This record gives sequence, C-alpha cells and structure tokens, in this order.
Amino acid sequence: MSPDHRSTRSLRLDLLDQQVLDGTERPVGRVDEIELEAGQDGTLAVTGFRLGGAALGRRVGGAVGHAMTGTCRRLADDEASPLLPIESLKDWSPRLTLHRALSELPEVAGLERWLGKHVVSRIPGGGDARV
Amino acid sequence: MRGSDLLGLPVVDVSGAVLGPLRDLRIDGDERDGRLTVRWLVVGGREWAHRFGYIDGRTRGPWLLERLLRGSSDSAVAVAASAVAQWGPDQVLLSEPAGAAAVPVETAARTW
Repeated sequence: MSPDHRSTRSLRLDLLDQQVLDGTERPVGRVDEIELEAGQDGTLAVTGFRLGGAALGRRVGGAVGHAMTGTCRRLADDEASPLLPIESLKDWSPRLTLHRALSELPEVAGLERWLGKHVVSRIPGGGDARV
Repeated sequence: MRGSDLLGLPVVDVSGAVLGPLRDLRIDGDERDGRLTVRWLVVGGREWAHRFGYIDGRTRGPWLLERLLRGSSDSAVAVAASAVAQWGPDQVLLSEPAGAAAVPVETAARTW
C-alpha cells in the first residue's frame, strides 16, 4: 500500500500560488489552478495548470471571485484562463519554469498584457512593458 | 478535475465513515517525462495548520501559534492514493476501511 518513498511536494504549498517563470526566467504569473485527471488504474495525475485572474476568481469564489473573473473577461477576454499542459513545464523545483518564452505564449497573461499595453506603457519610463 | 474542487471534499472509507476533509495532496514525479502523480492524501486537521505549513513540519514558531496549530496534526492522517476508489465529485471514496488506509500524518511525512 505504501507509495514509493521518494520526495513529494504539496499541491497547496508547493504548486498552487507559486511563481511561474518563462523560458527566459521572466515572471509570467502564479499558478492559480491545477488540473488533474484520473487514469484507468485510478491513479490521479496532474495534467496541467492555469494562470490568470479568471482561474483565481473561480477558485476564490463568492462576490470577490466573481468580480475578478468579470474584470478579466471585460479587460482581457480572459474568460477561462487557458490550460498550460504539464509538458510545457521545464522544471518545478524549486521554481516552476516553462520551456518557452512568454512572447511565444499569446494565450497566457491576458490581463497583464492588457495592462502593459494600455496602462503601463503610457507611463513615462514604462515603454518596454508590452510583451 | 480542478485541484481546488478536490480540496475540502470529505474523504469517506469503504464502510461510509468520514475521515475528514481533504486538506492536501502530495505529488511525486518528474516534469521531464510529463508525469506528476498524486501519491498521498492529507486528511483532517485544522485548515490554518495546513495553510501555514505546520502539519508537515516545514514551519516553526512562533511558539504560541505553533503550539495551537501543531496540535491539529494529531487529528490529521495521510492516506495512500492507491487506496482511493473514486475521486469526487462530491466525496473521495476509499476502497479500504479507515483503519487500514490511514496512517498518522507525522509517520507519512518522514517519507516526504
């Protein structure tokens, strides 16, 4: 019955809310949701994760969560926070690092892109905020 | 299924006895082969003790908070994921009696 005695990590402390870096070590967000799938043998495996306010809003729930999801949908068309498959992860210890650069992942960080384009890049000195 | 949907679900053994709410999942694997697998369920204990990391011993002090929250680990148990018959949507159902499936969380944590 005992699982293999290897080092394991906590879903809620080591994965959820952890910083995610892209392939160039640039922060792209935090893990807002983990997707899991049960196999034929009953084994539960991580299939991917979601970044973005829409996923976080759904997780938080209630009025605050609803407001977060609504804001993301209105500003960045980020309704569902796209699923990043587990294969896109290069390393998960100690930090989560993706294989690809953020510029190659147009579906990621919709709200941050919107803010960078429409708000931060218009602030003096913020010209490189666009992704 | 979403991880946040699983957390908080009641964990029920084969006789229908409730062990407690699912507080955490321990995951093992290697991202290089694209396979991260759930190995253990952490069940019961106070929510804040898990949230602050007192249950698995990663957080120490301040002594008052530690004393209040570490006591919660007495009621937390670990269950091997291989003992699960059904994951959700309303409960996590075990294929074994609680006495056979659950071990004290401190015992399991030595292998984490």
